[in-house]
Amino acid sequence: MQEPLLTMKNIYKSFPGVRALQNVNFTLYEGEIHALMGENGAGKSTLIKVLTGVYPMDGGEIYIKGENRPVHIKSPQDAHKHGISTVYQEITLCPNLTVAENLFIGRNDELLVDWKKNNSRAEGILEELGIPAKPTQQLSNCSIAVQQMVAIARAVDMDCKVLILDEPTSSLDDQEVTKLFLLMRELKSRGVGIIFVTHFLEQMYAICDKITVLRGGELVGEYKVMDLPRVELVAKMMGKELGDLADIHNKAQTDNENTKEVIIETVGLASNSGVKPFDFKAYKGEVTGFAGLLGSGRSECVRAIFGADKVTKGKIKIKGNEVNITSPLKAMKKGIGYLPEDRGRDGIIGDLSVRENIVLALQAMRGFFRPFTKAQAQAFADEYISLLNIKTASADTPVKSLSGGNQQKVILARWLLTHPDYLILDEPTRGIDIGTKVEIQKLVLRLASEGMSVTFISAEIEEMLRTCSRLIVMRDLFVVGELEGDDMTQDKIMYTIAGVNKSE
Amino acid sequence: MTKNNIKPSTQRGVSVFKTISKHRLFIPIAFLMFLLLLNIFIKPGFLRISLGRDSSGNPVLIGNLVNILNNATELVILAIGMTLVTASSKGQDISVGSTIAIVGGVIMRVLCGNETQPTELKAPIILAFLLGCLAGMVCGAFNGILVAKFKIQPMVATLILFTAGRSIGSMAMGGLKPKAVSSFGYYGNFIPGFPIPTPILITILVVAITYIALKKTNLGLYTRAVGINDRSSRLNGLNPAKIKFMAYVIMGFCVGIAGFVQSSRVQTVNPYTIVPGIEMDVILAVALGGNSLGGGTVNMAGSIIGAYTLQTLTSMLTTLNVNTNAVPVFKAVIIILLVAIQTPAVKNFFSNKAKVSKIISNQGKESA
Amino acid sequence: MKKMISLILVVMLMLSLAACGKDSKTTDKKNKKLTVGVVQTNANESDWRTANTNSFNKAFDEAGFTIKMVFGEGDHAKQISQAQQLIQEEVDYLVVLGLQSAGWEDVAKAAKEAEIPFIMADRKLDLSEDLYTAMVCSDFEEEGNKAVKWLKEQALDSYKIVVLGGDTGSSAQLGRSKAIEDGAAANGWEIVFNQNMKGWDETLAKQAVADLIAGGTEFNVVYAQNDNMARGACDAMDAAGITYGKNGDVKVIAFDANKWALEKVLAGEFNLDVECNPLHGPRIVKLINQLEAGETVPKNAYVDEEMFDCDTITQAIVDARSY
Repeated sequence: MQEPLLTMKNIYKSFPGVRALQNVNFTLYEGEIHALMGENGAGKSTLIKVLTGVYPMDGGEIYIKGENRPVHIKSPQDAHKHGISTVYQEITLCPNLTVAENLFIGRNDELLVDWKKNNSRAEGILEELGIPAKPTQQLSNCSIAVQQMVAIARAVDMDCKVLILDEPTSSLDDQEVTKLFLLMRELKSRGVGIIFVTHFLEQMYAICDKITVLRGGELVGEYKVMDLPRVELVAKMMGKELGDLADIHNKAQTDNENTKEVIIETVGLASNSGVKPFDFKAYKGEVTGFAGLLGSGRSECVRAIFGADKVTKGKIKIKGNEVNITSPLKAMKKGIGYLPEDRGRDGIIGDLSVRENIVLALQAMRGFFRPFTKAQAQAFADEYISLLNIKTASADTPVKSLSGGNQQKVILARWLLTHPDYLILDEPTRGIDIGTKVEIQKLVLRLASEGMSVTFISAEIEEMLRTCSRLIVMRDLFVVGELEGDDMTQDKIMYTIAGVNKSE
Repeated sequence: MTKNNIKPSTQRGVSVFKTISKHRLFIPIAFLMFLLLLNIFIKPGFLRISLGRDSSGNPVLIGNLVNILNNATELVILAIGMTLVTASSKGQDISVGSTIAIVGGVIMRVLCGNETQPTELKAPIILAFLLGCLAGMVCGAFNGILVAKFKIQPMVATLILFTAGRSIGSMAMGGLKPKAVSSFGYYGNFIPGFPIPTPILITILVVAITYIALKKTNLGLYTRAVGINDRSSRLNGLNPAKIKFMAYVIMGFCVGIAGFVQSSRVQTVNPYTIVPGIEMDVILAVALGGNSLGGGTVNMAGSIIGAYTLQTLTSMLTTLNVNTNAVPVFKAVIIILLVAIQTPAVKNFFSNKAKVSKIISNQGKESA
Repeated sequence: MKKMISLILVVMLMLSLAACGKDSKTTDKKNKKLTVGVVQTNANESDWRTANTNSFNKAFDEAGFTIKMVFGEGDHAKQISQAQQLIQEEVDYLVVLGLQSAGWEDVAKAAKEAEIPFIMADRKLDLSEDLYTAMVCSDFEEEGNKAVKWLKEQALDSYKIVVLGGDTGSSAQLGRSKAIEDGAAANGWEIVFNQNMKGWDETLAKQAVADLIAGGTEFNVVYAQNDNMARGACDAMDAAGITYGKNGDVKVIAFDANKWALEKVLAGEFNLDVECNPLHGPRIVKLINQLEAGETVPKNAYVDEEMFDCDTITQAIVDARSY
């Protein structure tokens, strides 16, 4: 058998109060695409950060092919020198520079740069890897996918032997993912070892050769993709057998029988975000969904209802009464809650503690001159930390140091605390592990059964099919259809989006 | 039995020390203490406070500590406002010195009218104080609108008043340089018969009000939330523009009080030279207090301690008669030290050292 | 928004260009009205400065000159660029009152190339003689020496001097500090404190003296380099019950001799105030007229300055003061 490209042996790493990695082993061969799977907080990010020198490890050894002794990686720059490059979910290039500049910046110490030469070199690299971008194009003008590819090209051009892709596909559409996969296969054929971190099971099965599963900072095992069917993988990640998912749908169906009190109704509502006038109704105890491709106006609709964007036209009625919602605060006071799509930018307030993040919305409703005492706030926080099973060292921990799924639960807690009549959840399951996803879906159904009206938006249609009892379908900022009951199938949604079978 | 009791209590002692040293006020307080101790070491009588009499025979407290507490007043009050401005708008108000000139100008004009050496006050002092605060708040509101509504960088927005403020102050005084009667001086010096300098009392009052405001309102939480993530704050029902605006108006109010105290100290105002360079000292006080100048932290106690630290430093350099050319260098060196020990890099270095020494000592224990 | 700002900037630029155009027309030599550019320190930093500025305005107005006065407002670099600007606007004479004495070579050279006579007023600048046309200045060191001479005549048992300096690096501070430092060295006096106060500031001087008193520093002479700092020092001594002035323990020496300060001398609160004559206007007018007539002028002229002792000052002297 050939010598592995990278071997990590008995890696230990702990943070105050948390054992992030315990005795983890990882091996990567040339020309291999190796998935790193696990729930949030399983230790995937920590392992990668140890490998790239962001965190010093507490114990263990890292070997790289061609170097006899264990290497000591002190910083990301150091990792580069050993041929290890990382491309993150968030683009870490400079959007205001050109593609070529991004490819070469900061890579040599020469004072004078021959940009003409660099541009033509860049053109060669882009062509070779099949990246549809011009060297002189400004990076911000490229799509996210191309930006990601440029980041990969930069890494590849820096002679990387090990390429780490950390959730590269979460903001890409299917077509872009396909292109990215082509590029990954190209790199694979060149002998680059790729570590692929993702939450998307389908994608992982489509491209990877091997899977290493982590759980709670410990190694569960390394498997060949063909030997590990989906259900088993999920079970391994969660550490239990998974029969829950099947139940969810049935429950949603029964919820449909609820008394039909209209909680919220929009009439020809439009906002300055560009969403076209739409009518929408949400009933008590019902879970509704907005389906459509990225950018079809799903989020824009709910943002208009919440007053997050400026409403330009139309009316909103709550329980039959017309209301004037000009700001999120007014919406909140009318009993609306909104968990935004972009958790990092719009959701959490990173440096505030978990407790402060949980009470913030309720506090804003209560008013400037009526702060909660610390004890009150702590009581609220404790209640929801245990209710939602939020994994945090304490309520004083800054929310940014929590894992993605737990951050999302904090925001959920924030809105549940306001006891809204109508709760909007925009992509609550994006970028979080499957266990938490299930928890959130179950929670949504429970809330609905308790009488709350919930709108649940997700990029994963199966998720919506499981949880929603009615779907609003959108295309190009228009509402193009509404599906209910037996009509709610993946095919029907596709047809509606594509405009082949226009119902209504 | 007794043996068993001792062990946990020493452990608790260690952990108490650990929590103290981890506390966000630890470094600011430790540094202030260090400066004071250094002063005592160099001049043993540094902390001595004596009861003397002024030239009119009134009792007054005399001592370096009294002077520090007294002279830091403006810095402390401004640091309170600057903390809020920094936290909410992720930038600093560099116009505070110039707006003090405006406030001082307004106060002098109200008190002295158009005379240079009036024999009586032309208006009640309370009116001058209120108009001074109003002037400060108007300036604050102007800065606040530029920052909150027009989203201009704080440093750039406040550059306008920084540049123009002192001239406006001069205009407010009608180009005159009046000196008010000495009864106006009670607020910057002593109230006859009461030995504690009035500015110290004013500081206590302002700090108390600040404490209550932070306890009884959501000022701290809101400013921090907005400073950390204003998009997200808006979606949580806060109004970031309003909160930033409010921070600047509060800053203006602080400038009003500080300007009042400052102009009362010598009962005259020279708009061009009043509180020279104070804006940088205020910003420094906020930074020394462990607040991030990038916004999002409200460490009010830290800022106040930072202000006293700077005043102690100034006072120390005076009493030690440091060569005048070396004063800025001296100040710079100490500030670099102070800022450096608060950086994560240095903190980590020391905590690692502590870990190593702990491990070594533990090993020592085990072998023993 | 960005577009708006850049548009505004462009408009402003165009307006300022237009304004420049207008300016250069007025300097047309034909109408013979002389334009004098004056680079003043600050518009209103002290009573002394106000009197100084007024003196220029009044004298130039009477002489029929057009005056272009600009103010550095405490910013040395700003003063230099203002002077360069005046040279570009082709003023006929350039009068400079520098905030700092160093750093004026380039301006003087540019003026020389443009054949604009360069006149230093108030404070001497560090320039070699070929670079300027004339100087009408106060001799700050001489002022200080007068005070030192007076101090020596007082024949105190011991001399423990507190020196409150002005803005570091200004020629007034440099000259006045040198005089007392040299005087102390020559006579064996002790300088117990010697620091400069930012902006000649009264409050800073007061706080410094209060700190000295609290710290137990003993002194019997306060050498304050302007009237305001002397007043600040007196305030601090008042607060600590230290007597000063004519019948007190501490001798107070001030500089500039504003009218209100002379009243304090008369009242015996200051022992001595050395004049720094601000009335430069008429002298400069005379100088310019001489130059216009082609006469040779003295290169370095110092204004006459007096000093006022609390033992000899009279009400009449105080009343005669205009500023």
